[in-house]
Amino acid sequence: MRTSSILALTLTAILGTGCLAAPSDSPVDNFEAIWQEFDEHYGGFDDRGIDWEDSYERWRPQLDEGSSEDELWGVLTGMLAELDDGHVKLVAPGREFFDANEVYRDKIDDDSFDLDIVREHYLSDERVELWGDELWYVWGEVAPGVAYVWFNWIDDNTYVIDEIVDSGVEHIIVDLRHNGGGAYTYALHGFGRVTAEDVDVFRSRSRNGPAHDDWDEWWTTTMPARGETFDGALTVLTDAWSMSATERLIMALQEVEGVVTVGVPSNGSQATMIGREAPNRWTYSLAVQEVEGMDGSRYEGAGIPVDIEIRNDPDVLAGGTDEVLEAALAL
Amino acid sequence: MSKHRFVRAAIVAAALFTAAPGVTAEAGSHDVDLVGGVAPVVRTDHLLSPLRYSGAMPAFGVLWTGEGERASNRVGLDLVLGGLRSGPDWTYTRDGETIEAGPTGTTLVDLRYAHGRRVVDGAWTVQVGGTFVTHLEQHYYPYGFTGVSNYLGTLTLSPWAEASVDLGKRQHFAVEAWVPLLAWVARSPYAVHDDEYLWHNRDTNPVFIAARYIGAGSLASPLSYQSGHLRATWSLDVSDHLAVLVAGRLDALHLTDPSPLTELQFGTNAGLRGSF
Repeated sequence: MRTSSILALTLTAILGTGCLAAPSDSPVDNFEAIWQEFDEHYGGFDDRGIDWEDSYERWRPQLDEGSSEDELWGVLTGMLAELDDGHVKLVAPGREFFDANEVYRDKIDDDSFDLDIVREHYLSDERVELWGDELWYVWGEVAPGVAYVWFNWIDDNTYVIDEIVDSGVEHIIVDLRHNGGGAYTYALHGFGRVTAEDVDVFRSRSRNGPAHDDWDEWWTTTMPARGETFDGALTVLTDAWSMSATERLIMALQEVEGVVTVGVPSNGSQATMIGREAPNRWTYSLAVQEVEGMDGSRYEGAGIPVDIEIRNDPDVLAGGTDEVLEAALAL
Repeated sequence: MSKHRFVRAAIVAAALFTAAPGVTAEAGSHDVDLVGGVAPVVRTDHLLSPLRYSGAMPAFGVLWTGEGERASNRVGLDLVLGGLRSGPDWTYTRDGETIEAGPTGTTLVDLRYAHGRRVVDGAWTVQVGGTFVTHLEQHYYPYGFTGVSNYLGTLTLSPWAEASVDLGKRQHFAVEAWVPLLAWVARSPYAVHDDEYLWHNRDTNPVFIAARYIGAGSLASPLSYQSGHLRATWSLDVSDHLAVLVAGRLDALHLTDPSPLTELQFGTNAGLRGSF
């Protein structure tokens, strides 16, 4: 047999399997594909009290093969909004980004935190690091012997904790308000200075099959001790915008003895998210895990509670007083 | 055998194979091929998307061949870098800002060693032997607003064969093929980003990260992993030590675990061969 014939046969066989064929693309097909992907991958049904079959029964009949793109968008965003999950998002060409989380979507209490107020009214000897044009972190003193550090997101910027600890301060206030996440693995290493020994901080399991009870084994994450241990006070500020990997860092720091959290409970979206695509190329994301503290506590949906609950009044904040930071300073 | 012991054994085997030319090659020629070209790639990876992604990406390759009286050894490295698309780029808005959903970032690396013995020596020369191939893929899917990285790494042992013929005094043609029989497959998990995967990324050293990925793999059965590979090279001698060459390749890959992946990689390269 000639080489060209063998090549042709091979390609025909592979392409003939349909593995490389494009999926069908009607409004119903797209609804079915997205609903199915959530059914087979989403990890938050139990924690968020969602009956996904019921969602299908209520939303699917609102579409038929003649439905418009706007109707498909309306049905999908309506269904996904019920999850109220900070890791569930939907985008489509020419449309405004959709966030299934009410806090982020409706910008609830967005005016309860203002870094500029902290910088203008509290911070001295300020040190700033940029990531491109964006602030990466800001730290300085907010009172004698008291350091304040704010991260725009968490990553290996958390290694600045070395500089702060080595400055000899007695109290560090870590501001994680309005912090939407990042890479907690770096952050746990960065904050390894605050623990004298390795500490197990949370565990998670991820979907590994299409059934709702298909989970892999629980995976325990450890915050590794690193360098000379900081033996002063550590206070963590949180709000409902503290989300995702940032919530993992909060969970980790709560496992360290003596750490105090101040503010309002976090967003309640700790599970890791992945991206997906519908047949019509709309993209969306979903969370694929269950996460719990080492004592079995679950915060997905509910948010991580704080030791001292206090909410900034926007009017007071606008006047230059950050009541949450003041509460931390009073500790 | 535990998977970690298998990985260590495979790495040692690769190192021995790589060292083997100095030991086993008989007196003869040594060739070095340097090629560059374009590699069209088509893939559908259900871990990431039901859509078919395709694109033509820049490709580079280097191949050393040591030819003895009855045996040959070769060590090659192929690299393909670029982006794949499922369609035209598009934009959406977020708080009034227009954001573009761009292509994937794709890196494909093949490192292989092959050893063959001449079994036919006539108008056509035929060699048969085995090849050990390390195939690495790293993909970044942007999804418009969030990025997801994923990986695939395979270590395979395959029977290998090459047939070559002289087309006159200065032209030569060779075609080689292999089909893996034993494969160690490391691939992103069903959930793509689980905490174990994230922990593997806990530092910025790509060598350590790749080693953790590969170590997390497992032996794959022929039911869950199939691949086939074909290479064809035409060369024209321009002097005793230099030839120009045109090479084509076809790589087909199909995986079913934990979600289906089908990938076809074609390649057309041109380059130079130095002989010494």
